[in-house]
Amino acid sequence: MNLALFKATAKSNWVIFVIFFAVLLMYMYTMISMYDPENIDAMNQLMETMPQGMMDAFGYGGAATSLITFIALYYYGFIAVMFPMIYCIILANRLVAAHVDRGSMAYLLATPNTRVKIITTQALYMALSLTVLLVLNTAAGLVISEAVFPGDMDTTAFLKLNIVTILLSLAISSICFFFSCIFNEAKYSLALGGGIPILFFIINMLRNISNNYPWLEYLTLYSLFNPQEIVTGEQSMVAVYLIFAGIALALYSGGIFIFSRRNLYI
Amino acid sequence: MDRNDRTLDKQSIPWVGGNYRGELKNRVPHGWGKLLLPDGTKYEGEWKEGKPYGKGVIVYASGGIYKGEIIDGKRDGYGKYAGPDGKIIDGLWEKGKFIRPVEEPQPSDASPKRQRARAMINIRSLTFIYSSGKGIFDLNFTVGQGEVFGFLGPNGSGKTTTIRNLLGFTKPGQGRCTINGLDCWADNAIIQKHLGYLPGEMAFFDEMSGMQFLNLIGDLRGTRGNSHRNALIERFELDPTGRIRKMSKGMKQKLGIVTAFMHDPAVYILDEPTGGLDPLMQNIFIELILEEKERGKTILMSSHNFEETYRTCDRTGIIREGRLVAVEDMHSLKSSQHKAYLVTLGSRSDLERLRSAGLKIGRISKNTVEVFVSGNYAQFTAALAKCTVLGLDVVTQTLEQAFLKYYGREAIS
Repeated sequence: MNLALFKATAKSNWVIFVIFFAVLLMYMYTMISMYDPENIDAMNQLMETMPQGMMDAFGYGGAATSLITFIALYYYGFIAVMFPMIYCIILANRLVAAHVDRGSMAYLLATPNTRVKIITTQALYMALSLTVLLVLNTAAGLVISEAVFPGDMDTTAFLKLNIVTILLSLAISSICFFFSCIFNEAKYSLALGGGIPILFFIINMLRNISNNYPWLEYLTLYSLFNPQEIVTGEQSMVAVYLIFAGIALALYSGGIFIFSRRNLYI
Repeated sequence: MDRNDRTLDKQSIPWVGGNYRGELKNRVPHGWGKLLLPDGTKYEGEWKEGKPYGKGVIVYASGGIYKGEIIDGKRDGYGKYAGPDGKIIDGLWEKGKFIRPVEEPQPSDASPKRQRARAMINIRSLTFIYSSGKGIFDLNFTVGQGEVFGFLGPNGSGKTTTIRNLLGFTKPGQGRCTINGLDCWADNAIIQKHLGYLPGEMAFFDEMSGMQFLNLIGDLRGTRGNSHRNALIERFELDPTGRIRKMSKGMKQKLGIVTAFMHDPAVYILDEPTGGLDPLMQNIFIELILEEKERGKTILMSSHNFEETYRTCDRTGIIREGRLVAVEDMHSLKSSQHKAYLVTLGSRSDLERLRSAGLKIGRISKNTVEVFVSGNYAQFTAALAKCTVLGLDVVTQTLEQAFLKYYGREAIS
């Protein structure tokens, strides 16, 4: 890890961070204020009038009975998954593949720092900025819900939900990062590093619409993430934690390993 | 011998407890200074934040001597170690531990005059083939210390591919290349401490300003002091305040030059260094190269510019379709280069006078005679003085003519 590079990377990517944080924050505020404890049934009825297929695709199938289930359903089922995914796709491409594609990586490697050091710095920025983004989002969620509906939020369940979200996003980010490390051209890195997470996401939407293809569950990482179950379920989530963390660790180290050994046409 | 070395390697040199004489900053050694430890170990060299850092010499109480890079008080990078028995190992050190000896430097294949210079850049049977089948094939040459080696060839002939291998961006398919005895692929990060690289394609961090970029690279290299850098900025009239994205091609090229030269390295690898520079700046660049050569720097420079090659290089290698087709010694090329003059004479009798003066005469058409002169100008002017000269034109055999024969199709056969 090289501090000078980390700072420079942070400096050239903070705008993206701020934009995604603003979007997440806006949705968080909108969703929480849409919740009406007096009239939760009316809300559920309203949702039922919407085309069922579409609602299912967004993961909105089901009924919310409390603030936490409402948020889990309408925010964590879709927004808190999709936006971090887009953030990962954009950032991963900028951190490695774009430097190799443009040739600016040559300047970084023509300094007395090993490739492992340079690329680990980029990996750390990726994982750290994503974690900070979602931790800030968690804090914002707690503050907003406390301000709008004091005492209504089940804090423990909310934190548990966010920890799984962070681990899931780290696993997704590792996919983006891995492909960013192994290609010489940014277009291939984007095609696979962006394509695979988006495919996971689309498969998950299809799976929500129809139960006719149960095997779809095995084709997407998102099937392991079920916000409703996380906040209501009694069962332990340790297995899911371990799977997400394992994928993240394996793909980040795999990307670093391959990058440090491959030929770079820069 | 080896075991003995390893035990000595583990010694660190804490400055506290010794006698320090040198510059201080915030009451801590910083700058250049000497240290004497109670056990008799002496250190003389650079310091940073209280620890020996940079170039220095350690003389052990046991009699052993270490000369080389020291990072955080420990031997790190490339250095020479002489044990108490006087045996010297040139080697690579990491965090105070001896990693491996550096290969015996090969004698350079430079011209006889420079034969004794050690080969700083050594390329042996280097082969790298792309999936397209193009690449470089069995390349062999060395660049001696203090030598400027020009690297010429048509587009796509393999110059940049060779440089990629020297920079450790790609791993040679066969053969190997070393810089200062260190392997370009395996010891890449250590080599970079003493290497200045100017890429052929300018690709920076677009959103940064020139100064931010220079600071980043300086920090990545861990260099201290900006006086050398600032002098270069002034010399090339670089305006580093603007965003790189908005810079002109020439300005970007200047930024690249400053980046490559600002840490005062021992070896330079420059890929088409004057592309985009105006003639005035090209001159300043050539002067800089000549100065660096005077200071004993080793330079490998790819170029399409014959003028620049002619003025700076000691030897020039010509690469074509991935193979080295010739290595020309520029000094002998210069002295063997003869000039032809087209002399227009007033009468036929003048022609006879020129002929009898013992000059080398070429084609004659009407009253115009081609005379070849190589050094014997006194004889030439004396002969001319006796004739009525109506016109005098120079036909210079340019470097282009000397080299273009390698560029055309026929050069392969």
